Amino acid sequence: MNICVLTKQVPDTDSSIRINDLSDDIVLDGLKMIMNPYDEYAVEEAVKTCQSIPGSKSTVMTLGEGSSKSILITSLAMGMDEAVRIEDPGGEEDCYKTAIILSRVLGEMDFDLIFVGKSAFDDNASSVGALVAEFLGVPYVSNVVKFEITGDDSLKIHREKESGADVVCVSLPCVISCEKGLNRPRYPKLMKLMKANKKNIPVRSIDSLGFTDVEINGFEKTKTLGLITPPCRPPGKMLEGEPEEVISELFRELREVVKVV
Amino acid sequence: MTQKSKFSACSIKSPSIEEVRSSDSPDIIDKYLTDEAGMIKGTAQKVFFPKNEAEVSAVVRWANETGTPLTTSGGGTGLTGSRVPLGGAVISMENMDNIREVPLSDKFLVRRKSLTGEISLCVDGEKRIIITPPGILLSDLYAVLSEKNLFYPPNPTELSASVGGNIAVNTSGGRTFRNGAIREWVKRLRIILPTGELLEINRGEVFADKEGLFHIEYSDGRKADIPIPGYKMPNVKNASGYYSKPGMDLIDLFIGAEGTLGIVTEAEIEVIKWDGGIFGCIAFFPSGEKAIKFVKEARALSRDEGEILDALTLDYFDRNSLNFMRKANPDIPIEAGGAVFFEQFLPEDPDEVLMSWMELMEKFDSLDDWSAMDDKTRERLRVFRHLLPESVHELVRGRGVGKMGMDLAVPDDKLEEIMSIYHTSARQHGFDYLIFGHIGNNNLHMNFLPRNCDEVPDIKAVYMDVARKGIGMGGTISAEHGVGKKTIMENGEEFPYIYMMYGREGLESIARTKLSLDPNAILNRGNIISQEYLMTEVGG
Repeated sequence: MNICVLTKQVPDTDSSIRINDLSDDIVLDGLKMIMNPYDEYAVEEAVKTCQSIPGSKSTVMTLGEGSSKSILITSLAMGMDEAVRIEDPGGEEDCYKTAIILSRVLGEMDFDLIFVGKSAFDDNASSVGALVAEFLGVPYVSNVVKFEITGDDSLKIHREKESGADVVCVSLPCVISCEKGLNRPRYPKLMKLMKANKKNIPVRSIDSLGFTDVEINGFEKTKTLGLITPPCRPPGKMLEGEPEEVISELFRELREVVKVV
Repeated sequence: MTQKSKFSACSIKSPSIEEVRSSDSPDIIDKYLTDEAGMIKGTAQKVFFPKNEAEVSAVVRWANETGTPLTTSGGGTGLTGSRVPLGGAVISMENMDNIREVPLSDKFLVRRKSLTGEISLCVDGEKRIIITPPGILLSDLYAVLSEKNLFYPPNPTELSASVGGNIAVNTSGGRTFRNGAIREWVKRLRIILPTGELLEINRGEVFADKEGLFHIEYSDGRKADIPIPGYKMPNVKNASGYYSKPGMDLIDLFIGAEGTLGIVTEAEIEVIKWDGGIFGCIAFFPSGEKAIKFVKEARALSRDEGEILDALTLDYFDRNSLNFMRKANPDIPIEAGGAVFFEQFLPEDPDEVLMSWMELMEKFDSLDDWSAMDDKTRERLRVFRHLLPESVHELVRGRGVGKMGMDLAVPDDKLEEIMSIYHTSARQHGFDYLIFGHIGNNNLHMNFLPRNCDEVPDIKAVYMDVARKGIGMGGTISAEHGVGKKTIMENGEEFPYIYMMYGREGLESIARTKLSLDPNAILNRGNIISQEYLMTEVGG
């Protein structure tokens, strides 16, 4: 079975995100970048599936600039067989454009199964996986928490919903978006880390994918107009005193100031 | 040139005590009556929340004038009851999280939104210096430093701890093996003395004279001699009692004094700059013996400057610790009898370093490993490491028995001997136990896990016996937690824990130092020595 994982480098969730007021960009200086956390479930599931089916091969792919090589190294160290980076000096923000570029490379490959994280921590768009499935003309199953191969070309999948779970059957090839709870991403092993560090990771350029300029220009469907920092949370108010006094004061505040009761 | 042993304190303008935010609500006070270990529960009538140095001074001055015992509270993560008040008032440093002014220049000022509001400190990446108020929590400090590829040298894993609390106990951490404790990195302190006056000390300026004295002059012209304690400290990683060495630097007297000599209001701390990667790994071995042999060789190679291997961290988990952690981490190999967590700063081309570690792991039959070169995976390793003591605290608290963990450190050549004592003493009595900790410094935490309250007296007896043996090897009873309000029973009499190391004479020596700076013994009563010794000294 040929398995692919699509991954993305995102700012570390612990970083403080600052906006450059002049360029309306995120200030990258001092910002730590990591593999999108949901993609770790995708990598783990790909590695596990590969191990369970002899002769399988796994490839991890990202569209990103040079620094995104580090997340490919991490994926290889976790057990992925191959990695491909599609050079993106600009740092694409448009999901449609990202998906169409990734689909073009995937179209050149003979894949059976594509795993993606359920969403990226930076844009939270949850779009690329679905769009890739659409462009490749294959089924897409989102928010997957359990996964089982039931036959040569079919899968039984549990999807998480607010009201419970869907259990669906899907035929291969398909795209699966991985939700937290699907697995426990493994720690890389030193031996694999060393090999991954030495491995030559091929870099594809967007120019090499055979798009015309007109096509490329038409891909971008969204444009970021501006970035806004969330407003500061107003300071809390500490009520002090005997419980009876505090409770009546609390209700007065809720009624007269916050106006929620 | 004669070194200076005299120094002056100055008075600062402070507001009236009524202007400092405080609370006497029992519900609020209750949060300050215990610490992470839950060993003891204290009492207090009031808690103050100063937000600047002048307010700290106002509170301390008030306490000194009214004779009210005053206990300083940091992050509340201590394990020895050090921040637990025994009556009087608490001064919580949680709102002391904004820098007093910008002592360097505006360009070094860093502001950050924290869970507790906006915090600020100064960070000079080029000179590798931070100037910080005491209430900054390590979670915030690490986030600020990480953006500039700077590192807090000892790297404690308890992120809710505060910088002020760290200085009070001379904190250590995972990277103390290579970087030592925080002491040597602290370059300057501003301290409110028990009189409410301000003392600013730079490292390298004031030293004890030949008689082992410092000489202070207060702002009103009053003078006092401050004797350094007369005991000899063990030559191991140590956080037991006041620092004492002939000709010592004045700043070292305050670091690790568990808040008994003054309250830190600002600290200048050197940090480490590293732009490259960091390798982190937990290697699993078939037996504890093999894991220890791995450590001994890694330690020797790391201390050899000609070798490429240079561990930052060397931490150990015994078989019981791994079994204890397996429920939450089923990937721990079932056959593992010991594991070692290590880290190293990586050069640009890391292959040779990684290969050296690989070869060493293979030499001692490593079964499996969890390795990380990226920050996120390394953070998972840190969380795994930190979860162990947290889970132990939770377990013993749940059983209503309090923490029964040891913090001994012994000299290098006694590592295997003390390890054998830990195992045999617990097994002989059939106690549940586990051992983990900073094996690079021979500072392993032997944790007894009492199954019920009935076991506690027997465990205490074994605990004391093991501690005595550790001291007999030239070790310390506390390498990093401090001694706080821990006590021992000997022939039916209760003594401060440190009595085991320094005897009555040592305790009296500590009391003389304490009273020379805090004649009314108002600050952090019960820490290191009990009030009884201070009263004896006052009386006689």
